[in-house]
Amino acid sequence: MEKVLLKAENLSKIYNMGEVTVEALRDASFCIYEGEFVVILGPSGSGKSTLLNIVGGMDTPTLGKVSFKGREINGMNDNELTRYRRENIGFIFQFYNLLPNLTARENVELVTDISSNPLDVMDVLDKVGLRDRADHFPSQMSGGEQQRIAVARAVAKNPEMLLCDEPTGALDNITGRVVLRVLRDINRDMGKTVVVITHNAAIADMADRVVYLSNGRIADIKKIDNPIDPERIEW
Amino acid sequence: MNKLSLMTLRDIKNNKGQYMAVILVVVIGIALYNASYMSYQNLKTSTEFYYEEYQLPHLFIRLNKSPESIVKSIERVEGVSRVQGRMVLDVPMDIPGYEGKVEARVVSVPPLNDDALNRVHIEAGRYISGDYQGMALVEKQFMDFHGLDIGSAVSPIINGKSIRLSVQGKAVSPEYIYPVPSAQEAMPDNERFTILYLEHGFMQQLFGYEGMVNDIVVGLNDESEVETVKKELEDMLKHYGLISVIGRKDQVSYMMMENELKQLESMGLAYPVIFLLIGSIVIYMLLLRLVDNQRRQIGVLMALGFTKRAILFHYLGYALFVGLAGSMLGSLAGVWLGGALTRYYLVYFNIPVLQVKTYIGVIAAGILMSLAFCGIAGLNAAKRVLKIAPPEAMRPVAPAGGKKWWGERMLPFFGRMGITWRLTFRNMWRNKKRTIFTVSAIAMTVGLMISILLMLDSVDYLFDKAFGDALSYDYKVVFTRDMPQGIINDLSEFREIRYAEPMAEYPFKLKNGWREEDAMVIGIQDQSEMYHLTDLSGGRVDVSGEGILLSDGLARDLGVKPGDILKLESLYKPGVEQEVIVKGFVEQYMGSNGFMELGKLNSTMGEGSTINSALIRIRYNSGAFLKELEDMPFVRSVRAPDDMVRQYNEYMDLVYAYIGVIVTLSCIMGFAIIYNTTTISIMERKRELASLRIMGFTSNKVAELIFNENTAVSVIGLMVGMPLGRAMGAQILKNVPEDMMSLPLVVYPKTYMLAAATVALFVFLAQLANMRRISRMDLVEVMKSRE
Repeated sequence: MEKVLLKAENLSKIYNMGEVTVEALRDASFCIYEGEFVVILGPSGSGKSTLLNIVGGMDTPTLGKVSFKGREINGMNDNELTRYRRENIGFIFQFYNLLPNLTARENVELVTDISSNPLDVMDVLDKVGLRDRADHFPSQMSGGEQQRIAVARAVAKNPEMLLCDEPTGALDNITGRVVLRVLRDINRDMGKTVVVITHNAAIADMADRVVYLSNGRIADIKKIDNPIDPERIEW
Repeated sequence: MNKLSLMTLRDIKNNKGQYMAVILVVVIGIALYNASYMSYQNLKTSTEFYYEEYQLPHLFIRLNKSPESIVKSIERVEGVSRVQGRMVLDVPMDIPGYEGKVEARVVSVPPLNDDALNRVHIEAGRYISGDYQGMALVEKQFMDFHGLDIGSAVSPIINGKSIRLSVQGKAVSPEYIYPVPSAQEAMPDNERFTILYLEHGFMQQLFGYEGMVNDIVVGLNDESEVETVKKELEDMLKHYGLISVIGRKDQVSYMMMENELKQLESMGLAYPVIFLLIGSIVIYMLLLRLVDNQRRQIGVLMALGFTKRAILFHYLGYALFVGLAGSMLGSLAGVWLGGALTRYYLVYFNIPVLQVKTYIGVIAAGILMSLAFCGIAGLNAAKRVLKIAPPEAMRPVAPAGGKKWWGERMLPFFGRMGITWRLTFRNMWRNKKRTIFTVSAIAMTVGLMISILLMLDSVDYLFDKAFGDALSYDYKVVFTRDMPQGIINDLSEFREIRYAEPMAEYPFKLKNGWREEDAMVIGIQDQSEMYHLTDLSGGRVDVSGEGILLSDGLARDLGVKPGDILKLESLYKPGVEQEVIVKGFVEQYMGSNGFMELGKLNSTMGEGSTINSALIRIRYNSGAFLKELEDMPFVRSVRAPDDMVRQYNEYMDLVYAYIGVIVTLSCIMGFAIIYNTTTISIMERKRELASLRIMGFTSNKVAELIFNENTAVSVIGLMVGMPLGRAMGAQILKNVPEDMMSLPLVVYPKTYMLAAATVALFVFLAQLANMRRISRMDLVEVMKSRE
C-alpha cells in the first residue's frame, strides 16, 4: 500500500466579497501519495488556485482539514505555516517569479540558504540542464529557461512535494514539454512527489493520477496505468 | 552574502539616482551636525584650556586711581589666590601710514609674563624685556589688519603728547579673545581699536600714575566662590572709588565667546534634525512605493518559506543602508567641515591654542541618530509587509478606487478644469498619504530656506531702522574727555559743518529692587534733529522733561513699567546716585540704552553742562575736513553711521557664510525630494501612463500629467512652507543675544519670491531629468509585465 503524504478532508473555502459570497471550494476530499505525479485538472474558476494555496500552506480553508504526513496544517499559525512551506513544499508558478535582481544560481541559493537539508545548487542546475546559465540574470534567459530555474529553485531545498501552478501556462509547447520532462525526471529519479495544477487536459496523460476539479468540487479521481512520455504530449 | 541583502544592494544600485538623492539629504544633516558639534567642542575645549593655561582672572575690578597698596589687602580676602594691580586706560593713537585716529586701550603688564594673570601669548617677536622704556606689545588682529611688523612704531597720545613706542611683539590675551572695548560695541573693529601692552612701571611713569593703579584682576582658588568674593570686594572697595567688580560671565570677551558657543550648540542640533526628518520622510515614501511594487516578490518569498520578519528586515535594510551610508559619508564631510569652520572662527576670535580634534563620540552619536531616523521611517514603511497575506500578494493589486474627490463634488471650479488637471487632483486625492508627505517635505525645505534667508532681511531692516531712520547725523564726534557745552559753538565754526548737536553718554548701574543692569545712558537734546526715538508702535517720542526712556529690552530685563522709579548709580563718577522715573519705552534695535534729556542727565550726574560727544551734519566734505577734525586734541574719534554698517558687515561674513551653506544645502535637498517624488510617481503609474501613450497621448502630454501633479504639490508645499519658515525664523532670532542687537522678524516679499522661484526651478529640473523615463518607456514591455 502506498503511503499517504497529504490528506485533504472536506475542504471548503468561502470568500466574502461585500454583498456576495463566493464558494471557491466545496467539500473537497482527496489524498496525495508519496512519490506520485498528480495532475489536478480543471477549467479556470474551478478552484484550482485556492486548492493549491491551501495545500501549500499559503491560505487556510473555511471548513475541513488538511494534514501533511499525518500532521494537521490548517490550525497552524503564521510561523508554523512558514516553516511548513520552507521544509516541505517547493512552489513553481506560472510566471516563474524569479527575483530579477539575482542570477540563476543566486535565485536557487536564496532558498538553499534558509533550508535545513538543501541539495547542491550546481547539481540541481545540472538536473534542469542549465548549469552553464548559472550566472545569468532572469532578464537574460528565455521563459522556458526561467521556468526551469524556478524548478531548480523549488527542488534545491529538497522538499517532499513540488506544487506547480500552471507551470507551462506561459510557455509554448516546445519549451513547455522541456519543463514537463524536467518535472517528470525529478519525480522519477529523485522520488519527489509532484502536483501539477493545470487547465490543460493534455498534461493529464503523463500523470500517475488525475484529480478533476469543477465548480469547486472534486468531480472525479482517475488512476492512469500507463502515463505517457512528456515528449508525446501535444497541445 | 545573504541573498536578501544582495537583492537590497542590487536594487539600490539599479535605482542609484533615487537612493543617492536620499543619502545626500542624510549626508547633509549628519555633516552639519558633525561640523557644528565638533567646532563647538573644539572651541569649547580650546577656550577652556586657554583660559586655564593663560590664567584668565575670575574677577575684574575697575576703580578710580587708587594706591597700589590696595592689592595687598585684596590678597588677604578669603578665597583669593592671586591679585594683580594694573592700569587700563583708553587713549587715541597714531600709526604710520594710516590717516584716521585709532583708539588704543593701554594695559599694563608685569615684567615677567610667565606667572602673570592674563598671561600674554606672543605670536611673533618677544615679550617686553630688559629696558622697558619705549617698548610695547600690540594686539594681533590690529597688527594683521594694518600690516604692522615687529619694530614698527606706534604713537599713543598721552596727556596731550605723542609718545613714540616700538612694537616688540604681536600679542594675544585671554581677556581679549574677542577684541571690543565694551559691551556697547558689539563688533570688533580691527581698523580703529586695539590693545597696547606696556610694562607696568613704565606705564605708571608715562601716565603719571606712580604707585597707583586703576584696575585689579583677581584669581580665585575656587570658581564657585565668585559671587561671595565679589560681594566682599564690593563692600571693601566702596570707599576707594570702586567703579565695578565683574565676574567672567560679564566680561565682554568671555560673554561673547559663551554666546557664540551657545548658538553653535543649538544650531548643531536644530538644523541636522530638520534635515534628518526630511530625509526620513523621503525614505518612507521610497519604501512604501518599493513594498507596493514588489508585492508579488514578497508573495514569492513567503511561498519559498521566508518568514514575515525576515522580509520585514529585508526592507528595513534599505533604510538602514541609507542611514549608514549617509551618516558615514556625512561624518567624513562633517569632520572636514568642522575643522574648516573652527579655523574660520579664528578670524574673529583670538585663540592661540586651538585644538582641532575629531571626537569619536560625536561621530558615533551622529551615526546612531541617523540610523534611528532612517530606521523608524523604514520600519513604518516596511511594516506594510506584515499586512500582506501570501495568496493576496500573488494576485495583482486591485485598482485603487477611482472616484471624484470632494473638491470636484463641492467646488464646480475643479470639475470644469481640463482632463489633465482633473486627473492630477484625483491622483493627489487618491494617494493622500504620499501627497501629504511630499507637501510636508517641500514645506520643510522652503521653511528652512526662508527661516535662514529672513535673517538677511531682518539685518537689512535693522540697519535701515537703526542707522537710517533713527540716526540722521552724518558724523558722531567723540571727545577725549568731558567738554563744556560751548564746544558745540566751536564746532559750528567749521565752514563744512551745517549743524551740531550736543550729546553725552555715561555708564550707569540701573537698579530696580534686586534687579540691576549696567547700561549707557544717552543724553540728547530735547526735540533732537538727529537722534530720533520711536515708541514701540513706531510713533516719535521725545526726551523732554523729567524721567528716563528705556529700550524695551532693558525695560524687560529690569522688570519696570512706565511710572516706576529706577535708581541710577554712576559708573563714571562713583558715589553719584539718583532716582528717576521711568517715562516710557523706546524701540532700539542695536544695543540697550537709557535716554534722558541732556540737561537732566547733567543734573543727575551732579555737574554743569558737560558733554562727551557731538552729532554733526555737514554741508559738504572738503576732504581735509575730517582729518582736521580728528586731529583736534580733544577729539577721540569721528564716525559715520556707515562705518558701523561696514563694521557689522565684516563681522557678518561668518553669518553670511553659514547662511550660504544652509541655503545651498536646503536647495540640494529640495531638488532631491522633488526628483524622488517625480520618479516615484512615474514608476508607480507606469502601466497607467503606458496605457495613455497607447491610447494616443503624446509623451509630452503624459509628462504634463506628472508635471501638473508636481506643480500642484509644490504650490501647496510653498504655501505651507512660507509661514512655517517665518515661524522657524522667529525661533532662530530668539537665540540672538538681546543686549547685542534685537533683530526684528522681517521677511521681504523678495525672499518669498526667491523660495518660490527655487522650487519652480527644481520642479522643472526634476521633470527634465525624468523625461527620459517617459519618452523611452517600452510600451509593450510595460503592458506585458503583470505589474
